[in-house]
Amino acid sequence: MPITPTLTQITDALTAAQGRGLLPTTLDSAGLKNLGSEVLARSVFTAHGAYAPYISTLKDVVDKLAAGDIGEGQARTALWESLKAIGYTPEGGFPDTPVGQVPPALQGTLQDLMSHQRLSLIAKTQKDLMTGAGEQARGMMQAYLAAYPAYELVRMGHVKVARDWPERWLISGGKEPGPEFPRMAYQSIGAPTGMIAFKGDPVWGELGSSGNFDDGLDVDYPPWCYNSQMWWRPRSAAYCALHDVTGPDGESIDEWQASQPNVIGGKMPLPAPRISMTGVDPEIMKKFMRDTGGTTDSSEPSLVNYSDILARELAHAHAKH
Amino acid sequence: MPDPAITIQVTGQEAVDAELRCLIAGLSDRRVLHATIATEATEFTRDYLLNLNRHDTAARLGATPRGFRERNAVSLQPSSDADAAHILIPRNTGLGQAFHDQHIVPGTGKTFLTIADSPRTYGLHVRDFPEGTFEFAVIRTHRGPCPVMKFKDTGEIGYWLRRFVDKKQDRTLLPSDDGWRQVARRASIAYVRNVIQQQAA
Repeated sequence: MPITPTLTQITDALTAAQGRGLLPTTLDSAGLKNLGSEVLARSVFTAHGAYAPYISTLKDVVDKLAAGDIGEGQARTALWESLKAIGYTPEGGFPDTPVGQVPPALQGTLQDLMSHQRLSLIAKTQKDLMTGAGEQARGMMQAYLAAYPAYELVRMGHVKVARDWPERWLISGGKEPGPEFPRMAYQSIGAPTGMIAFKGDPVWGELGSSGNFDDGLDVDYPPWCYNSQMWWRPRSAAYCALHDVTGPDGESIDEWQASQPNVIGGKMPLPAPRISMTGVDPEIMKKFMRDTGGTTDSSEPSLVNYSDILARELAHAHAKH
Repeated sequence: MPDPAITIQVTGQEAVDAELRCLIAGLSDRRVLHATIATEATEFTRDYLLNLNRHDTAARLGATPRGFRERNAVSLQPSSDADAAHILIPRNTGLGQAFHDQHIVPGTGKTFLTIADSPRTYGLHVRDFPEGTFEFAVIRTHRGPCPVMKFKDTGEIGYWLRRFVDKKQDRTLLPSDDGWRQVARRASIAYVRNVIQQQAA
């Protein structure tokens, strides 16, 4: 059977990107972490990005980037032009930002939303996050899960200084790689590292947790943290058997998969039906609800029901294509 | 005297039947087979891009490579169903050049493409520099007058301004058809072996 290389617009990354709502916020990176990973994973936001029209542009740009319609350079240009048109300045922020809400930024630094550094980081991180989310969703489809029950952590790009991923792996609860894998293998692009775990293993979430690592993106899929250049490779049952891969408590592949409720049959996984917003600033919660159309139950006002909206958006996206 | 009767006994038929039965079962629904082929072919193509190590423009300008092709590697996706296996290649990877010539024009509302001609500008846009870094000029080339953006301080050309760029098809940007066929063959064999082993277990 021939393989067909297909230049495409409908990608998993696009589907993942389109299933997100807007979250305009004056919070910085540290403040955003308090919102909870489930909210962030399903929202388009950027630290100190309080201006809703800009966040809306950001979502459009990310959608186009994920669809392959524009490249990273074009995404940077579109965002820069949008910021310029809106009247953003690094010193004063957005025109209607309340005084004191966002500290002034030095021009050209990462805090300056118009700087090359910041725009590159946004474009690349968002594109990688959407690709990673799409890849995870596909990996959990029945056929892919059957053929490749595990992933191996591998390097997919150069960095100036590589973070110590074997150490991160162990901190995250991963099993020590076998002696057949050199410890420094993670520094070579594409080399097997022995850092292997089943799909759905908590180690993948711990690896991206900002509670464990300051640069974590709070996602359980690549790239896990800013500019990591790390990715994962699907691994077969035979590969797992060869390298003695088991679940967190020593489970076999069958035992592990039987214990996982999120195995799906050909659709994007739906999120947890409710998101806890306990402790979140009521104003931010109100904005979030307004922008996403989330609903709350009067008996538990801190829990936002979001799954219906996401299901509708995904259905809409599928119907559109 | 009658000829002696010769009896030929075929043994192992049951085992062969069992293997055939499970093979037929494994091949009647081809979703997993195609997922295997698509995944292996995608990983093979990713490796190809990661090891391509072609930085022609960066080398010509003496600039540090930006790893554009490496970054594209993770954008490739496997896709499959019961009928076929595909590798999905997003259009913004520029890999379409492997299949056809490309005629590149500026985006909507733009007049020129900016083609970097200096290690200082490689991988960057004009707006990535502070205002006033460049000045517009027209220089004479063997093809006639050509607009450029020159550095104000040194007079060095930062960018050529072009209304379009034509790029010839370059099939070496992606693995050969034969390379993909071999991967598909290996993946199919591995799948069949796996089906038989699972049945045996």
